[in-house]
Amino acid sequence: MNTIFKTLLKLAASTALIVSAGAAWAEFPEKPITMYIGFNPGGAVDTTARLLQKNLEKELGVPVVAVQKPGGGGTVMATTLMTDKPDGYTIGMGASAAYVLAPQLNSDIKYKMIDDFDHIATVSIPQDALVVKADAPWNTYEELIADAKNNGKTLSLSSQVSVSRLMAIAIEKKEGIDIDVVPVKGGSVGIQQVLGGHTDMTWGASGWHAQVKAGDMKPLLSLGYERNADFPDIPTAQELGIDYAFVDTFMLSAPKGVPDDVLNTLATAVERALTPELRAELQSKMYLSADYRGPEATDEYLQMQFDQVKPFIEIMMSEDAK
Amino acid sequence: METILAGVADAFTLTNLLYIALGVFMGIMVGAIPGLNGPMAIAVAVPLTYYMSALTAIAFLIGINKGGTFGGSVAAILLNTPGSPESTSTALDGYPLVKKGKGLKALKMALYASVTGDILSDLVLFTVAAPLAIIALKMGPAEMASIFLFSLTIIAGLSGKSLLRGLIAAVLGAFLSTVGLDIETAQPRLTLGLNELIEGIPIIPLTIGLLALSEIIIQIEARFLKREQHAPAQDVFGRSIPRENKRVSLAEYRQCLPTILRSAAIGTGVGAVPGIGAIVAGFLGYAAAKRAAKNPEEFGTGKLEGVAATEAANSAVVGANLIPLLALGIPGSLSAAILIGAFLIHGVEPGPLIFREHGQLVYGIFAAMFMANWINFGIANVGLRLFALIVSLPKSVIHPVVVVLCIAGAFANGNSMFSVAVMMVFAVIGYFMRKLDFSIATFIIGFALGGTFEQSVRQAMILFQDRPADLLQHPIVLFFIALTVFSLWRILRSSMRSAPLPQFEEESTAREEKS
Repeated sequence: MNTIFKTLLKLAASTALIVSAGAAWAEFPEKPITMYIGFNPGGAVDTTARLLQKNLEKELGVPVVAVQKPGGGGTVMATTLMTDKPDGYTIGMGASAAYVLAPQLNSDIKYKMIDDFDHIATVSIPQDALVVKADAPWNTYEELIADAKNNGKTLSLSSQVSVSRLMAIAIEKKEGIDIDVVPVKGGSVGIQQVLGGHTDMTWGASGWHAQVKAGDMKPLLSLGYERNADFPDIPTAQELGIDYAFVDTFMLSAPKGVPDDVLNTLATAVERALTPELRAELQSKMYLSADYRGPEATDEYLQMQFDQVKPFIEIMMSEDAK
Repeated sequence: METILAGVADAFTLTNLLYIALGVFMGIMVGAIPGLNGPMAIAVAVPLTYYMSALTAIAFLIGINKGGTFGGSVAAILLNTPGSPESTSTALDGYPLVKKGKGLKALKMALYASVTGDILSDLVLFTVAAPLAIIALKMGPAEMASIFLFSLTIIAGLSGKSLLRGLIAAVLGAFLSTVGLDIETAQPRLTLGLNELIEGIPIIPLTIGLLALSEIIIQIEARFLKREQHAPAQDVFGRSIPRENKRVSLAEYRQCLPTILRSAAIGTGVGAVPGIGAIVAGFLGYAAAKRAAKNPEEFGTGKLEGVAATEAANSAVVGANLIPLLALGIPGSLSAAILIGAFLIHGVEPGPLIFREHGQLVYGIFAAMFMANWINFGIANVGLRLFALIVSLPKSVIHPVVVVLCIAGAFANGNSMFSVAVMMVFAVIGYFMRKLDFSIATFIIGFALGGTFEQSVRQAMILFQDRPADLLQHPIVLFFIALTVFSLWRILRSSMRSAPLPQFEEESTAREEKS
């Protein structure tokens, strides 16, 4: 019995060896690729992923199967992805906040931004804005700050994610005013609170465009590195001398240890998949701008984001510790 | 006006008709299976709609929603195990009716109440969507907190024979809802270091475990300990059952009509306010009917009004839910949240602009919803026998099937074994809660309300901590706080006057089967 078992084991081992050797010789990809999507269906990340998926299939010649893994702003997906096999057949569409901010804010998140992943590419960025109600007395960021300063007003901000809470800290630090940060779940709740007159302002990556177009809200400020493509009149925070910027960039990642040639094949496929038609569709459907970077540039980009927000994260953590 | 007519014309195509029928059928089937519910079916069906037109896709999904809401009552009545959480209080009177041999009557009443609630709520949606959206906008954090507080006292009034145990169950439920990320500091709370708990305890496996699996465990236990009471055969279609027990007479429908109308109004109101879902509506409808009744102690013993009250209320939520969804882009419930995704796939953003930019589509959807109500009525009437088939099967068949479905249902929630583990844990907790006579329904509602209640209280705290006197300028807050005080006073008075409050049927059934 024992010997039979050993023989079988040997047989299995040698078969596995042959199979894996065969895999190494074959051209990547030779079987379907699984693409996790770290957010719920219908949102901006999901739309990016679904549009990209079709073109990636054309570029790579194999099916790309989308699997929803929502939760924690992409952290649940990243945690799963980290433990998958780094062979290029499992990739994940997530957002940079899950890599840059989440591990800083949440000690339960065990992964590291760059050490635990081979990031394939950045794909697209949302057009963000700090928005106020259309009939609010302020038409610009300066008027808002001046009102708060001169009249000793405490401003209130509906904040859905830490990105905007860090922004509030940066503004408080620069302008010497007070901002009450009202935590909300979901960007639409923030918009509702502002429209209902319950809070003064909210920050959103998406969802505010329709309100602005309908004439119900006014955008004052963007946290982008550049101005929004569709709303070029909104200044960025950096232009106004606020030392803070963050763009939650949608990106494709893989577990650490993907062979270089496979990683490059994937990155090239993403670059080619971002056709002019797809870029136009992203822009018109979801106010997303395509923003491609390869593997190395993506790592640098994440590091840059990390360095920029770090001081504000430290202030935030010490506030919360109180 | 032209847009409205064009939209209505768009809706009446054979393709739409067939897809709505398919959706309703799927919805009832899935809703009838304990552990699977409408939102789950919608979530699974969204990918199927990628290649449909926007109108067909939304009509199909709303069909599932409507079918699912009624379907939930089939299992609630026949199995005493709600097919979906919002039908929990349907079981309170539905199951006793089955025991009296009036199962089919209960099912039909559920259907009539459901469809009536649906139609009334849809009418409200069509006519007052825009004005109501403006009111919903006025609900700030303080208003929401006061409404939730009021809801909690109502639930306490609904709890089992001991008010204290009901309160404990509700508070425990609310406490468990604090698991997950703190919305203010983004720090994980009580996650035991499990990444899966970052988003909190998933409600679907929790509900399946508490409601369905724990009940099955109790039933299996009773079977093995030979404590099983031989209940009269539950064949609701049998020839031996007198005809009058198989149908709802016009007189009976009329008798229930005030209850249905009251519940439909409650469901519509609850549905129009974002954040309070069909589960709460069902209970509020039931509680209101009980309170308005001349003989409230008859509720829970198999009263037709009890079935009608819950079903009219939870179905009315479906239409009204679209008021905040269409006007503000804010989902009022789980299924509305999934619908947002479906809208976006087709390039339509729900929000203030939708009536302007996609008016024709919106009125097409309205017309399709109206069609869906009648299709729901037709399919459910014809197919009741099929949907009720599960119940004529022996328990030795039902138990394993339900256990498998519970596991599959939990697994379908995020495709993870973790959800199954959560369900198992709550099945055990539910088992002990049943044994110790703590109300499971109260616990679940506490859990469902807890998260948003905590958020709105904390938001209100931040906004008003420096100026509490400002709260006096919020009439809605004052109104609901007054209502809360009134409701507490009534509970206290009635519990002092007559010590045992009428209890939950699910608990007494469990005890009956034990004894």
